[in-house]
Amino acid sequence: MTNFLQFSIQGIPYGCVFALIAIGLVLIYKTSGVFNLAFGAQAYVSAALFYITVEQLHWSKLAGFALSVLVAGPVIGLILDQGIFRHMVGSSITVKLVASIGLLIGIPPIVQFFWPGNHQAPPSLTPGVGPGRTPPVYHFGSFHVDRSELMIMVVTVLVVLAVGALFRYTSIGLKMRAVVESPRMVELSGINAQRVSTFAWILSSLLAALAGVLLAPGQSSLNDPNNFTYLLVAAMAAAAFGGLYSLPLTLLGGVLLGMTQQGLTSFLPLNSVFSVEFRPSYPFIVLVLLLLFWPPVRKRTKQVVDPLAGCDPPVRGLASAIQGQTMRRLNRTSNPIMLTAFVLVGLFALPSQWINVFSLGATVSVIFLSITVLTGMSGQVSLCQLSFAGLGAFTAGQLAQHFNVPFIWGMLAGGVIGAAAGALVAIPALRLDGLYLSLATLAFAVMADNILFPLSWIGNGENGVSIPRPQIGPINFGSDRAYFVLSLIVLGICSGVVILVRRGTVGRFLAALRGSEVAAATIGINPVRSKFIVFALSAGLAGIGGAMYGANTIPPSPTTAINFFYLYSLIFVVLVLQTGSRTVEGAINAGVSFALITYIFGSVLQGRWGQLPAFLFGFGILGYVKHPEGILEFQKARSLRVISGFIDRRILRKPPEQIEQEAERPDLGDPDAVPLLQSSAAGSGSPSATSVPRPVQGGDT
Amino acid sequence: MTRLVPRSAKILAIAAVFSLVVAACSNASNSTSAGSQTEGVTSSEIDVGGIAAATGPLANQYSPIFGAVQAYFDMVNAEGGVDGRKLKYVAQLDDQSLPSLDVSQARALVEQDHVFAIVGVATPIFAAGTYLGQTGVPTFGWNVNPEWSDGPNLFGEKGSYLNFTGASPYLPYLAKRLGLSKIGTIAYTVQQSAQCATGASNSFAKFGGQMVLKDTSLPFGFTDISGDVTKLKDSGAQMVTTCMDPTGNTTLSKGLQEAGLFNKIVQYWPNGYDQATLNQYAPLMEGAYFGTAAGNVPYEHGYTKGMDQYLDTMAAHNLTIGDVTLAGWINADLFVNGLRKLGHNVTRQGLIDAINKMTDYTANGILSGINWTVQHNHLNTIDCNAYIQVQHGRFVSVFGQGRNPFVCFQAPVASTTNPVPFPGNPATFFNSTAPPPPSAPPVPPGT
Repeated sequence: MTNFLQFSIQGIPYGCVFALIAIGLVLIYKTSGVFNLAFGAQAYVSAALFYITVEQLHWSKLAGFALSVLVAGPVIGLILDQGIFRHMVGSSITVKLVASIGLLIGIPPIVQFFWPGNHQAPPSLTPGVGPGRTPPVYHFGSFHVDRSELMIMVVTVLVVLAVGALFRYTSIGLKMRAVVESPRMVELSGINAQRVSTFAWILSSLLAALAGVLLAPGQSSLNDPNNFTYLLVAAMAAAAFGGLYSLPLTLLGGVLLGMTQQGLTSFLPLNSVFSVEFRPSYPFIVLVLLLLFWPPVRKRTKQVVDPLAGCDPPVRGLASAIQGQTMRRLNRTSNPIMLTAFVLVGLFALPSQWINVFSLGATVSVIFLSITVLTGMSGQVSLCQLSFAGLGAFTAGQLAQHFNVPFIWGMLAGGVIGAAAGALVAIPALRLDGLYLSLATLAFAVMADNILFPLSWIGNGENGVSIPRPQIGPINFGSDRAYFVLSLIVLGICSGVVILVRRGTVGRFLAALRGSEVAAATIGINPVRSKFIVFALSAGLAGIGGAMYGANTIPPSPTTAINFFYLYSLIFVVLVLQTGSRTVEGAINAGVSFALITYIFGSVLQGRWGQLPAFLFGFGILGYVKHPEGILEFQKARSLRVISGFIDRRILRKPPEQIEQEAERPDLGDPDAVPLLQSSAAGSGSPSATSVPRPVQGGDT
Repeated sequence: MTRLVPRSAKILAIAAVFSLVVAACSNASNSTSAGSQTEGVTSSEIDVGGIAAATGPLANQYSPIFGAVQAYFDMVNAEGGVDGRKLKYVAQLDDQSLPSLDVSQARALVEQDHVFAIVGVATPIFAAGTYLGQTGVPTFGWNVNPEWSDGPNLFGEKGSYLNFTGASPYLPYLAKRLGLSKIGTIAYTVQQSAQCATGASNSFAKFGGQMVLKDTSLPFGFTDISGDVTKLKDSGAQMVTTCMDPTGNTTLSKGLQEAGLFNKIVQYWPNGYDQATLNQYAPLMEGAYFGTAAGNVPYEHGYTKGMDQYLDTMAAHNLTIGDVTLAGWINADLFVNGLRKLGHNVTRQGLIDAINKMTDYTANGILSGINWTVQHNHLNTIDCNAYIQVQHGRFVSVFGQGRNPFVCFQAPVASTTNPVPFPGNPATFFNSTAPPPPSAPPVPPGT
């Protein structure tokens, strides 16, 4: 025990690092209702600015601090508030979470585009510490701490006191809390909610900037902005300890996390699986346990609902619901022709390298379909879909390597393993909802990276697993062209499954649950069972897609765990939501766009242009904020109106009354045509969601 | 309307077709194509590409390879090229430290840019190794990945074979010379780092030395090392060998300082032997030992003409001096040397064959010698390295004899830590006309 305490006490400075970040998360969440995953990206910007000013421009540390923290922090907060979050008043917490994921993905590439090259960590902000000068060490009995660590500890405590005082003793603190609950109610009391929100963002962004400058010197370099995000994900456990609300509890949570993580070193056997895999994953395991069982979190899992949310206009219906009969007939004829033409051009005209890109698009689309199923059908946002894909890929590879199992069998087994993993995750996760479910799945994704994928019999660490391409009878799918055809076949089958499920009982149940769980329960729908099925189905699809995605890397080059890195799960979710999470074609468009954009910028344009895809994927979320139905759906609807109008008026010369009547009639054979009963595509599934009047048509059952 | 075919029959039919398809399954054989043997070669130039992790977590450790290759090509082109052909570095692609992108960038160089060879590959995971091994495209790079052994056309700067876990007398010799017997080793969870720690523990197990601590559980990135420092103290460790990057090493060093152990425990760092790292962390590196990773002479003027030329060219091009630029320089040198053996008829296979006949390639005196007839899959029969220590804020060669900085051991399987003579002729290998480079006996900790 003495040994444990001796080790633990040295974890206090590290715990304060967690606490400082967690306090930043809680502050933003309390004051703006946004669980800001972009906090790490904001911190990265300020750390980079501090490096540029102090190391490259040779400013004094004070001047660098003033620009990178006191100026840049608030300015970034102002931009985020005015440019994005001000337009999301009334959106669910999950939608705001997705917007922050977009920023997390999109902000760092801006820095890296304009500031290319390799950069070491910035100098310490601590006075008297710099290149060639190590910080003085202070000893307190057996506990020792250097000046930089002491500074982080002092700043963390000061921030807790200052922010706590702001909330408790000032009117602006009270207003900030009220604005989160309902900006519209606050405005009825004569308070300018927008101004209060702006202040909250400036304050929280200032804290992000401070954290960036304070913590960056402890990192290996500024080349990887993900270091901040990884710390942030670990610090979520501290935020959860405070119930995403209490600042003192968050501080305590951070310190306890650091202490217990360090204390584990004293009795975990070195080099055992517990030490190697468990110790780095400890914060994420703690996070999941807190989300599931910690009373302050459990109390808040039912999200606060704006009492005036019902005033929000409903989300727009799908494009297929507004197309006229002529357009529908035209589409039915032209779509197969265009698809056939695309396949033929791909097979006979494109160079092998481009074929591989389209195969990648098709295989990624299968993974994206898993997001369509989960988010589009049930309204839940999972941030670990790529982990399921990884399990599928490694299953196929390991079976082929060790048991010579043909790829097609391996792929199916990958789907089964993915589904089983999805079911395992779903059992505890379904106790949660909205934001908390997303956080739990994010923790699972990080644990998969740390614990599962390094195992030699799963992901085989950095060496990875080679996944062979199949041969079916005389047809060898080893070449890029043949594999392209196989990818399209698998994508077609999976798309068909998704459409069938959506048209079937489960799909209908989920549509009902999205509208109102209570109402659905009164007619005998079991929400847990339906969500469990859809979670497993979604993970199964991801597993199949993962196996296809893995085999797209030309074998025998291995597929490694980094292909399924947890941050890519976030990118994938953001992409699918942007294009449209409710339709199969949304997933396919997202997949093809992903493959094309990454290839064009990474391999054709090269150099710093390789940073732009992440920027485009991240800031594409701005379109999602404006058009929750998806950019593709929005554009399709707009184009349909224009083209249908032109055909009907100018070519067919239909009377205006007939055109109007046809346009309002949905395509009853296509479930996409049934509008969502949800105020947002990625909504929380909360009972407050606004109902959209369903078109009254015979046979729409 | 009555169904013509019952639904159950349809499902059965689909299942039957699917079963037939699945039953006929096997795995495809692999085939790759890389164009003709003279791809990228014209009468006036030879097109070459490179791949490095220019962005990503460890970018600063990999991307400088391009600059070194370009500097060598500039030098050769300024002298008229190789047999009248200029060397053109047409594409330098970034794999962003991603294995999948590494493969697609290799394919882009071969199938899209149609390069003759790839010179300058530096990446944490060389996933394209197996693909390039099959294509037969001559490929040269920084050998920090096991994939370099995947083909006779893949050439690392220190040979293409790596054995992270094998027992070597290199570290036990250092401990014995310093009179230390209680050893600790610390590594990241990253596979190669953990394997390096296993190699250290195997070495001490075979050649003597008590391994009192072996920790391979540190996550890469932001690391709290105080637990390990306490364990080093409790175990009475006298020496710690790490398998980490300079940031991890400096974190350890700082932790030792805080705990008052800095002058009591000798540190061996596997990397960080470069002036930029020393400039930043000199107080934390004082007394620490290093090795010359490629089996090269130390980065000092006066050892050999080849090293002098490398140092001067790097300085002229404002490039960092260290393992990755040295790798790029050696890669380019080997490529050019191979081309020169071919004369005017340049083919990929000809180049590969020419290099694989070399039995004592030294990069003009930078390396102790590579035998390319064996070093794709084995170590050379004698393995030489130089030991370096930071003394009074500068790197100094220790344990050398006169101008010869090397300590050589029998390889691939040594039985003792007793050194063997340098295999070359010191009188002709080392530059006897230049002023002698700095060397000194090792300084014990705490002085």
